[in-house]
Amino acid sequence: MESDPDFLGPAALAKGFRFVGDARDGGKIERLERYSEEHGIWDCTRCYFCNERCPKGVDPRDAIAKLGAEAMKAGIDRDMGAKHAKWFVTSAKTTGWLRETELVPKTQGVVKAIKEIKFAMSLLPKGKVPPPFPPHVAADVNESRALYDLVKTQGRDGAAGIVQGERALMHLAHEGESVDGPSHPYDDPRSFVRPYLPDDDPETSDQASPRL
Amino acid sequence: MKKVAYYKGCLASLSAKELDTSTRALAPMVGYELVELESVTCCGAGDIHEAEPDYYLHLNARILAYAAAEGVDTLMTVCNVCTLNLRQANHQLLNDAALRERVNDNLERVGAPRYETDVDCVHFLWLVAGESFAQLQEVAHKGLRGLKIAPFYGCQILRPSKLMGFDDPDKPDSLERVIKACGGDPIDYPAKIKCCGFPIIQAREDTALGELIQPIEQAKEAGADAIVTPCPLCHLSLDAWQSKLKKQTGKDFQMPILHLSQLIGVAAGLSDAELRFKRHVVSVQPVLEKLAL
Repeated sequence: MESDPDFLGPAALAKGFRFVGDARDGGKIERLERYSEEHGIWDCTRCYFCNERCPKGVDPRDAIAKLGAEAMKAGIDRDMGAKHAKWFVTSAKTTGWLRETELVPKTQGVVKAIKEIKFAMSLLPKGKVPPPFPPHVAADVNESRALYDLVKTQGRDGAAGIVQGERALMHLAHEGESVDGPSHPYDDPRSFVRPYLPDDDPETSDQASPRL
Repeated sequence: MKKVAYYKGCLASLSAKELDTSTRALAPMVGYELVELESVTCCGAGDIHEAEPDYYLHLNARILAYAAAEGVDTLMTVCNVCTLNLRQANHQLLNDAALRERVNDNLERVGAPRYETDVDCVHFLWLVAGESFAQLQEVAHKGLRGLKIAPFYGCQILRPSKLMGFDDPDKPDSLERVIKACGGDPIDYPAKIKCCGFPIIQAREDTALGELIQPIEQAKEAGADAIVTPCPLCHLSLDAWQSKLKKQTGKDFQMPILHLSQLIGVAAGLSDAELRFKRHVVSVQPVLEKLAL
C-alpha cells in the first residue's frame, strides 16, 4: 500500500494462509506470530482492492481475515489490531453495540490513550466522544450474549467460519458431469489417472487400477 | 410510501447522530417509511468477522431475521461497513441451506426469530440513486447552486463488487448523479474510490493518515467546496482526523465533510435541527455561506 511500502501485502499473506491452513505444515504458530507483527495481518485496511483485482479469484482479503481468525484462536493477540478486533466482540456480547469511547484505551493501552486526551478533548464538544455511561444497550441483548456462548460450543472457531475463493469455485466448469447424476471425477476421460487406494474394494479393482 | 427496515448501526447511534436525524427526516420525502429495529446489535464492522467469524455470522443473521420479522423485503443501511457485513452474511446464508438451518436453530435456541423470509440489504445511496431517483430530483428543489462537491465513496460500498454490485467498482457514478440531481457540480479525482484509512486508524495511525490525506488533498486541489461520503466511518476519519493531518504535515485543509443525507438534506431544505452541522469538527460554515443559508 502506498502509505506503507513494507506491508507484506495480499499476495504474500494469502500464500501464508496456504501454509497456516495446511495440517501437514508444522510451523503454524511461528507463522502466525510472524504475520501478526508490524506490516502484517493487522495493517490490512480491508479496502478489498485485492479481491477485486485478483485474476484467479483467490480473495486474498478473506485469506487475511482467516489468518487473523487463526491468530486470535491461537491466542496471538498482542497487536493493537487484534485488541481492536477483540473489543468489538466484547462490545457485542455485553451491550450489543460498539462501546466506542472505550475502544481507544482497549486498543492502544492506557498510556498511549492518555497521550490522545488532547485530541479527544478537541472532539468532545462535537459529540464525537460519546460518554460510556450510561451505556448504549441494545434491546434483547441477552440473545446476543447467549449466541456467543452457544456458537463457542460448536467448534467453528478460527478460519472455519470464513468463506474464501467463492469466485474461483463459481468459475469451475463441470462439463464432464453426467446428466443422471454426478459421476466420480476420475471417470472423466480428461481426469488425472486414478491412483490405487488401499481401501479399494478388490471386486471393483478393475476400476481402481490405473489407466495406462 | 414503501416500508423498509432501518439499520442505523453504531456510529449513527453515537458519534454520528447527525447522520441518523438527517436520514430520518429525508427518508419519507423520497418515499420510505423507516421501521427502526430495536433489538439488533453491531454488525461487527469487519472486526468480529476476523476475530470470531462464526459469531459474526450469527449476529448478522439475527439482524436480518429481525428485519424479516417486520414483514419487509428491504433492510436499509447508512454505512458502507454495515452494508458489506450484512450482505456478506446474507450471501452465505442464502446460498447454503445447511448453514442457514444451523444458524436458524441457534437463533431459535436463544429466543431470536429465525431468518426465514429473504431480505435484501441495501445502502440508502442505492435507493436514492436507483428506484427513488425521480423523487430525489423533485425533493432537491432548493439546489446546491453549482457548489463543487467531491464524491468520496470509500471502499466497502464498491468492493468486493460480487457482493455489492450497484456501481461499477472502478468507475462508480451514483454519488455524481445524486450531486447533480441536487444542483451541485461533482469534482473528479483519483482517490474517490480509495481507502480513508479508518479501520486501522487506531492500530496504525501513521499508515492510516497516509491513506486519509490522499482524498482530502486531491479534492482540495481540484477546487472542491466540500466532500460528501455515504459512510459514517469515512466521515469520522475525514472530518475528525484532519487536525492530525495538520499536525503531521502542516497542511490545514479545512475541508468540510458532509454525510450523503446532509448533502441531499441541504438541497431539500431540511432544518438545522435535522442536519446538525454543529456536530462536525471541521466547520461547514463556508459551504452554508456560499449557499447563503
